[in-house]
Amino acid sequence: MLSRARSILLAAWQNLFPRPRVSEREFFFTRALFAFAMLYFLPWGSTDTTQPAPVGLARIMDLTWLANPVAFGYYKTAAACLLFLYAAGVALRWTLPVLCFVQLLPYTLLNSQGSPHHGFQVLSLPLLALAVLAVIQQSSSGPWRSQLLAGLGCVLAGVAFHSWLCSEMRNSVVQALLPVFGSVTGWVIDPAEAAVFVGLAFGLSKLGRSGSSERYRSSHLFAAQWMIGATYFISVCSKMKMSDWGWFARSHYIVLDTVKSTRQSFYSGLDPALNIDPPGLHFFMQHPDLTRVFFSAGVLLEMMIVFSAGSRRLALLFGIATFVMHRSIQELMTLNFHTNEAMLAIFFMNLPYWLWCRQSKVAMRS
Amino acid sequence: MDRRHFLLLGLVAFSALSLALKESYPFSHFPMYGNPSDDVCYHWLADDQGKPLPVATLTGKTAPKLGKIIKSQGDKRAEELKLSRKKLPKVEQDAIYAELLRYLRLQASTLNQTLPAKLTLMRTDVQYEDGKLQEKATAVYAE
Repeated sequence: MLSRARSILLAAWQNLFPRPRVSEREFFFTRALFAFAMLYFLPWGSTDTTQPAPVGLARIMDLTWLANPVAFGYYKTAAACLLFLYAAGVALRWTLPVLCFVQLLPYTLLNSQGSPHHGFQVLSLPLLALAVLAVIQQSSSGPWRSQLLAGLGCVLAGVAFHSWLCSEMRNSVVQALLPVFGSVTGWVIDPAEAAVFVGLAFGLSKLGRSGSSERYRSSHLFAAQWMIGATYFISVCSKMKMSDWGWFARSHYIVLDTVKSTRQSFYSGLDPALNIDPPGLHFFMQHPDLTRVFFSAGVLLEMMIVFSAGSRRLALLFGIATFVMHRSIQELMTLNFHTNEAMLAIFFMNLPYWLWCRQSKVAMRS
Repeated sequence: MDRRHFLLLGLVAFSALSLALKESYPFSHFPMYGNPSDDVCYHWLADDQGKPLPVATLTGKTAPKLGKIIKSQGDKRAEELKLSRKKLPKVEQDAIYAELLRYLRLQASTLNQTLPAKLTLMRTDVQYEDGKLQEKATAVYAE
C-alpha cells in the first residue's frame, strides 16, 4: 500500500509541469484570443479623477489623465494597435513589454481608489509573465521589411477596429439586434467581432511572416497557464493565512457572504430582480458539514490548478472544473468572473487546440 | 536545479511576494472570502430618511466598494495609531465615513449626477440564528 502510494507520487512528480508541444497555429490562436479578450475587457473610460490610495505604477506616476475622455480615446486606440501587434506576432520582444505597461494603466487607476478590484489581475499577471518571457527568450521574427509592413497594418487595423467599437454604426447594429436577440445581443455581436479581430490578425501575421521557435511557443502557453494557476494558488495561501488555517472548519459561513454579495448587488443599482435570497441559503445553513465539503472542494481546485500547467488533459480537466466553479459562485453570489472564465477557456480548456489544432496534427501524422 | 524544482520554488516565492505586497496592482494577495465568520456586514448608501440610493448609478462605485474603502482606510488609520481596526475611536471612524461620502460626491459630480443634500451611510449586520436569517440595518454616519 505504502509502496503503491510512493510510486503514484513519484509518477506525479515525474509528470509535473511537462513542456507542451505547441504548433504555430495554436500559438497564433492563443495570442489572438488573449488579445481580443484584453481589448474586450478594457474599460470604456474612467471617472476616477483622483487616486486617493495609489498602488503599483500609480505610486510613481499620476494616472488621472485617463479620466479625460479624449485622452482615454487615444489611449484605447493605442492599446488596440498594440493588441493587433501582439496577436499578429510582430516584434514580440518589444510589443509585449510595451503592451503590458499600457494594459496596466486603467486597472492601476481603478485599484488606486482605496477599494481594490480583483477581476483584472488574471489578465495582467499572465501578460506580465509573457512580457518577461519575450525579453529573456528571443522569439524569431520575420524579415524586417515584412515586419514593418505588418506593423503598419496592425496600426491601421487597431485604429479602424477601435473606431468601429466607438462608432454610431455599431451602436445602431446593437440597437437593431436588440428586438430580435434581447439581452443576449452580446452573444451575437461579440463572437462576430472576435472573428473579425482574429481574421485580421491572421492576415497580418502572414504578412509579417513571423516565425517562432518551438521552445518559445511552448513557454508562451506554459507561462500563461502557470501564472493563471498561481493567482488561484495565492488566494488559497491568503485564505490559510487570514483564517489562521481555520478556513475549512469555518467555510460554511461563506453562505453569509453569499447573502452579503447578493444584497450588495441589489444596493448598487436597486434592481428589484436582485432583491432576493441566494439560492440554497437555508439548505446550506442547516447542513454545515455538506456546505463545508462543497466550498472546500472549490478551494482544493484553486490549490491544484497550477499543477496542471503544461499537461493538455489535466489543463482541460481543471479548466472545465474551475469554469464550473465560477459559474456556481455566480449563481450563489450574483458575482461574475468573466475575465477568469475567458482565461480558462483560452489557456486551459484551449478550445482551438482540441477542436482544430489537434485535429490537424492527427491529420498530418496520418 | 531542474525545471520542476525551479517552477515550484518560483511558485512559493511568487506567492510569498504577493502575500507581502498585498495590493500593488497587478500583484494582489486575493483576500476575498479569506476569513469566513458569523460576523458579516455590508454598507450601503441612503438619503436622510434612510431610503436606499442606487450608489453605482449615482457615483460609478458599487456597494462592495463602500465596504472595501472603509476597511482599507480603517486598516491604514489603525496601523498609524497602532490599534486594531475594530478598536478605532469613534471620531476616527467618523472621519473615514465623512471622507468616503466626500469622495462619493466627487465621483457623482464627475458623472453629472446629483446626490441628495444629506446622505446617510448604512450598515447591515447579517446573522443566521434559530434557522432564520437575521439582518439588522443601522445608520453608522449621517451628514
